[in-house]
Amino acid sequence: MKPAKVLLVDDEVELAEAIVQRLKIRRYAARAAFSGAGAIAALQEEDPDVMIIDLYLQGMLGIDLARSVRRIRPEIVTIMLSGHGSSDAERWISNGEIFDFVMKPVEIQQLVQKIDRAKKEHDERQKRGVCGHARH
Amino acid sequence: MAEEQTKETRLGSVKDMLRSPLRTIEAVRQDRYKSLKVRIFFTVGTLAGVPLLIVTAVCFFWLHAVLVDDFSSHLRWQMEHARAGLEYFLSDRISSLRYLASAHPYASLVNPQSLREIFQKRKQEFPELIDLEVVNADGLQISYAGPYSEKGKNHAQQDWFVRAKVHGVAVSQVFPGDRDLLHYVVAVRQYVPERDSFWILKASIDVETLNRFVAEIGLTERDDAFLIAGTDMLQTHSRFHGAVFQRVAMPSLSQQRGFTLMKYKDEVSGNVILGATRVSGSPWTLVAFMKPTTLERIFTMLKREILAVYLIIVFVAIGVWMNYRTTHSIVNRIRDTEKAREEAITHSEHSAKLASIGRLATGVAHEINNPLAIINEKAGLIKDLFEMYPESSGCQREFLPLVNAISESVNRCRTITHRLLGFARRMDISIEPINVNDVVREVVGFLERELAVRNIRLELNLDENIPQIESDRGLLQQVFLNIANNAIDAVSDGGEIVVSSMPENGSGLKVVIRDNGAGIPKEVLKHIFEPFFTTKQKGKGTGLGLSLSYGIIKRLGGTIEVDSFVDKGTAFTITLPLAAELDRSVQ
Ligand SMILES: Nc1ncnc2c1ncn2[C@@H]1O[C@H](COP(=O)(O)OP(=O)(O)O)[C@@H](O)[C@H]1O
Ligand SMILES: [Mg+2]
Repeated sequence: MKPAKVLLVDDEVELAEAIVQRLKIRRYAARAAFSGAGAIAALQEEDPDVMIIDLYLQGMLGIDLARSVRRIRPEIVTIMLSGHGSSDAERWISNGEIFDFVMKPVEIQQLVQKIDRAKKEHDERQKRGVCGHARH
Repeated sequence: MAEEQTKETRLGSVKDMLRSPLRTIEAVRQDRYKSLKVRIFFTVGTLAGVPLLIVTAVCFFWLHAVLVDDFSSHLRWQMEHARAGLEYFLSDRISSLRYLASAHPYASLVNPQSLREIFQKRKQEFPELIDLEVVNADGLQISYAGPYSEKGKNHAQQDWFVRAKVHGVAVSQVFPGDRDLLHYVVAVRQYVPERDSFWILKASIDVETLNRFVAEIGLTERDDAFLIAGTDMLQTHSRFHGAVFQRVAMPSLSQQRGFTLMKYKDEVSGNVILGATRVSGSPWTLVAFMKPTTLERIFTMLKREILAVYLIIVFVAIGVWMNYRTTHSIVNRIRDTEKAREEAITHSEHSAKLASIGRLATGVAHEINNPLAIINEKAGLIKDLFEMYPESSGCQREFLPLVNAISESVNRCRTITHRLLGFARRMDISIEPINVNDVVREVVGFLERELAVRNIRLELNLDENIPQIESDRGLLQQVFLNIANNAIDAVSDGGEIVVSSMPENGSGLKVVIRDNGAGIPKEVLKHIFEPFFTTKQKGKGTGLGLSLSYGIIKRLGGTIEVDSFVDKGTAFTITLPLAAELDRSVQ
């Protein structure tokens, strides 16, 4: 399996860059975006398999970004990242709005596992051609 | 200070076992107050009552004396009046007889014809005169004027004759007379110097004259008055003691002159006041038996009034007492209500405080999380880099432990923040029917190994009659585990923990977790539900267990209360409703 292409969205620049670097060390094609708008812009250039989105972004909620991504790029698998325990996360997961949830501070091994799981999901989605209206 | 204490104690319903020593002291104190109260009551009662009784008694006897005195002097006055009248009457009779004897020549008195004329004239003036008689010194009848002439009658043996012979004048007792005409005799001696002899003029007088004087004493129909001769022989008719010449049962009176007044109990008339006075110049004593009716009436009235006054006093006292009691109990109730209200206020203040502290704690945890995450990632990155380029730095051996220490500390922080936030995340409560006893048993199962190692005895006292409740199994497990862990920490090796469950009237059930450990001092007790409050060693306690448990139980619509006595132990009581009514005010 090819390592996943990961887009990390977090307004904490230092945190985002450190995680990206660590993922890169682990051979993931990772890049960071620091805002919702940045993430949308990155989606124009890149084609990530997995998006890791912080729940609180400057000016918007990570869940809203996740919802937009699901609408425009349904094959991308989203993982919610938050320092804030949220009772909503489980509901979102069961609704299928996000794929998984990680609590900050993250254990890198745990994150990597989740990314791998997400990548598998991504590959399956592509095979199935989920929702069939992926735009290129 | 006392305020503070009530606040503390009311944090929970104290277990009986723990409370009993206090209760005993309280009971002893209550008993002492009660006996003191009784003693004061009786002392004050005696102080107020005894003088009142004394005054009443003194007044009573004093009034009695005055009334008796008044009554007696009235009686005395009446009797003296009657006696004086009688004495005057007798001396009047005697003088008029003397006048007869000296105004008429002896010859005309001896002559029956002229004596009869004198008698007729006298009788007109004085109708009660029965006869006139002249008697010689030997007691022989010389002449007689009157209805019952008996020629040659000898009076020498008669008492009056002897007395007249000696004293010159005599008044006799009452005689039945020859024809049952009751009468008495008045006699005067007339001296004849030329013959050195005397003769006696004697008059018989109807007893009616005496009755008049006796009747003068103001008598009621219950009184009795009469004349007696000697010690007890009736001389006039008595209402209750019989006819003339009968004997009256009465105390022997001294024969001296003067007035005798005494209380006397007589089988005929009952309690009476007896008055007696000698009629001088006669053989008679005037006697009166007076029933003190008015006296008695006044006394019964007085007694009734005193009784009424006492009854009024008693009723007023009872009224005052009851009033006092009512006021007392009303005031008590008001005080209790106010206390309860104050307690409710402090209680709600306390839980509001805990809730806001809880929110603050989660907020802080969240804010700290981001920098913590950065530290974590940077440290992780350093480690990654070391691993990637093992040859890059010679000081790798020195750096790696430092980075590991950073990661270690971050991990510790993570445990704390995750626990805080994890609680918040887990707040998607899943309500299901639960047997709380089963939950307790599961938790005990987790702890078995530690209990065995430390040789702690855990007793389960589970009431199988507790109702099934609708609640969150996982959260309850967490709460029981937190509290049980604290109990394990609190007891020394070989200590004892008792977990009991019981139905709570109508409102679900109660679980009590009690230990016989160190107990919680008052100053600590105030804070145990606050997040991060711990008295345990660094790294051992997070101070979150009770704070989270409090939040959970509140969220589940229950209550958690604590009672603790230093060196005796601690009891946590968790009350759960039949169905968790989720408290949304808790985050
Ligand atoms: N059963 C107990 N006996 C004595 N002290 C207790 C007991 N339960 C709790 N405490 C006190 O309450 C404090 C707070 O408890 P908790 O919130 O569970 O935090 P922690 O156990 O991490 O200290 C404890 O540090 C201890 O001082
Ligand atoms: Mg604890």
